[in-house]
Amino acid sequence: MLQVKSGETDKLGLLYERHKKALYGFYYKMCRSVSLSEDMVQTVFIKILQSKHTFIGNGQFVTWMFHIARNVMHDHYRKNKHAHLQVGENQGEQMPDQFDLESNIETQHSVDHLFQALSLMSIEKRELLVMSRMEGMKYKQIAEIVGSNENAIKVRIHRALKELKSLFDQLEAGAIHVA
Amino acid sequence: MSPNTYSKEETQRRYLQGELTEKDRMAFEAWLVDHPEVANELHALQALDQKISLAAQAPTPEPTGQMDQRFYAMLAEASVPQATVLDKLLGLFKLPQIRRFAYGAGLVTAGVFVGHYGHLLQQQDDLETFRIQSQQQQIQALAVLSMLEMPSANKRIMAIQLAGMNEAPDDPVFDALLNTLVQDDNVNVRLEALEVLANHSDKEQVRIGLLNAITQQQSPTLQVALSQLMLALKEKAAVTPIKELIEKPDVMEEVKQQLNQTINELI
Repeated sequence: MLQVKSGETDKLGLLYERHKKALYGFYYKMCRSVSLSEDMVQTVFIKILQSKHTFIGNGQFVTWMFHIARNVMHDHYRKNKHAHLQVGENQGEQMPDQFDLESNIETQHSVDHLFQALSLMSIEKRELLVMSRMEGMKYKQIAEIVGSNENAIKVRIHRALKELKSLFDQLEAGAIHVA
Repeated sequence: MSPNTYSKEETQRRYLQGELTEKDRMAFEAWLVDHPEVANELHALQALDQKISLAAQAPTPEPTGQMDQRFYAMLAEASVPQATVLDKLLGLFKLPQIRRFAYGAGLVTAGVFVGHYGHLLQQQDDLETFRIQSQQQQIQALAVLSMLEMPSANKRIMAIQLAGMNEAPDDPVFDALLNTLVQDDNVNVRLEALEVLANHSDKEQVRIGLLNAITQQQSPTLQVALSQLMLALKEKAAVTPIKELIEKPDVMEEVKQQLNQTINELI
């Protein structure tokens, strides 16, 4: 990244190849939309190029990149307040074949309900669970990305998990439905 | 850790997130045996955690090729060197009207610079000329003063002629010439001095010196020459000294007549 910062713009291609899947995966888990995830990945790398001078090189590039990624996502949801209603639009066609197997119907169902429950949560809580439980990020790194401290993040993730469980239970019981 | 805190959310969170020590964890799990409702809730959260992990392992659909295409198109565009401010300014000069205007303005500016430079050079030349002239005058004055001290009358005449070549001699030169007019032994030298001084009679210092010299002249030639000069200058102040001269016993009669005629013409 320091090379990109010093003007070797073409080196951004290496960073893109190295991190595009992780970033795309994060976005896909957040919104379950291929096209939106691709759009946001593109926007992140444009922002990286535009704000390369702000990268001081002390921290990890990944943390800085996810900080930008988070801002891009929040911008998107701010501009499209009802975008969460589209979450899950691809789930039926995008799920891998083995999840369609009869033997795994229950599991598939459960995974669907999980993502539906996630979609009902606020973007701030959803991103904490995705980063922590799905992307496997450490609490400390998440704290740096969202600009908080480690202990506060642990508490917020625990509470988000409890809220997710409540929503998941209601979906399983058929108490609520997601369009 | 006190058992009183076991029912608190913070303790349950620390248990689930693996922050309790081994001893505290065992004590808490023992407490959970007596509190099945809390145990069930915590087990349900752990199960949900596992479900999330399972969901995370679900293969994510691959991004389309468009994502790469769009990124590399953006990168190619960004890699093209951006026009600098200088480039943009130079670009403006490609417009014909602005180019003509720029050439015109450039010529005017160059003309002003050349003119100003020429003026400076001229000033420098003038100053140098003045400096050389001053230097020459000083040398000339020194030569005049030293030659006037020489015993040879010819040399003294040459000194006076040299002084006469100077358009504006210094005051010390005038003083020396006036002294010569009064004190020099040689009549020709004194006449030469009078001739040079006559050319500068517009100068106050010279005019006063000439008036003072009238009564001190013993040579008839100089007495007449001085009175003629006073007449030519229409110097009425000369009447008194001429009268004094007439009173002197050693003045020749022909000269007295000439002087009286001068007085009459001046009056």
